[in-house]
Amino acid sequence: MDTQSIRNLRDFLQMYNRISETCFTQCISSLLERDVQSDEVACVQRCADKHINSNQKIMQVFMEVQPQVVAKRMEKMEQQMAETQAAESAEAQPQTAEATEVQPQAAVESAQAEAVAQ
Amino acid sequence: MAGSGVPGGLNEGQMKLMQDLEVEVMADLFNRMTAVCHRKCVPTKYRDSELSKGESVCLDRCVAKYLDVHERIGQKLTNISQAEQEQMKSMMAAQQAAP
Repeated sequence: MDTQSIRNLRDFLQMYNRISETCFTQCISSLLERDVQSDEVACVQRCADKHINSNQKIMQVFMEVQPQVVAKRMEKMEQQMAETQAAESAEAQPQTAEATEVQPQAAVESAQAEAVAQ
Repeated sequence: MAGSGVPGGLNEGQMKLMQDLEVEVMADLFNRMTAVCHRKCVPTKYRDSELSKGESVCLDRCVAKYLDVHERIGQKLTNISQAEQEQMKSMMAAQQAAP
């Protein structure tokens, strides 16, 4: 059993506890008897079913919508990266053009261009 | 809960994790039950520090009922997850049978 399964199991058990608390609070109306009454039993069954179904529905919708949100975020990030890269390469181009024009003094001039850029 | 028929068995580390998990879940159950039963049975007008007879009896019944409800919901969840597992198995078997 790996960590992911244990995490799933922990989530499941926490959900179980939460459902128990909610359904008890909502359904157990009278504390005059030690045994759970039949109408309370029916209420608890319905309450648990409803919670489980709503949980499944929520998971379903989440799995549909979440990838779209993540994809949008990735697109924005890629756009930003492309923009910064384009800006950097635009700055670099004039320097290289100057350095290769005059061959004998190429070393000196490229060094000067780099110093100016910094 | 420990030793719940996991295929391949549990080694020591995993057994420790399962025990920790069980303790954590039990503590959570206890805390929730305490909060709910206190809210239901003990009024906030604090006239006396001792528990009255009515409050005692109420707490007794509250705990008994809470654990009963907890067990019923547990059975329901077990049935549902078992049914889901069998559904998955039969789906996978069908997929393998028809390549």
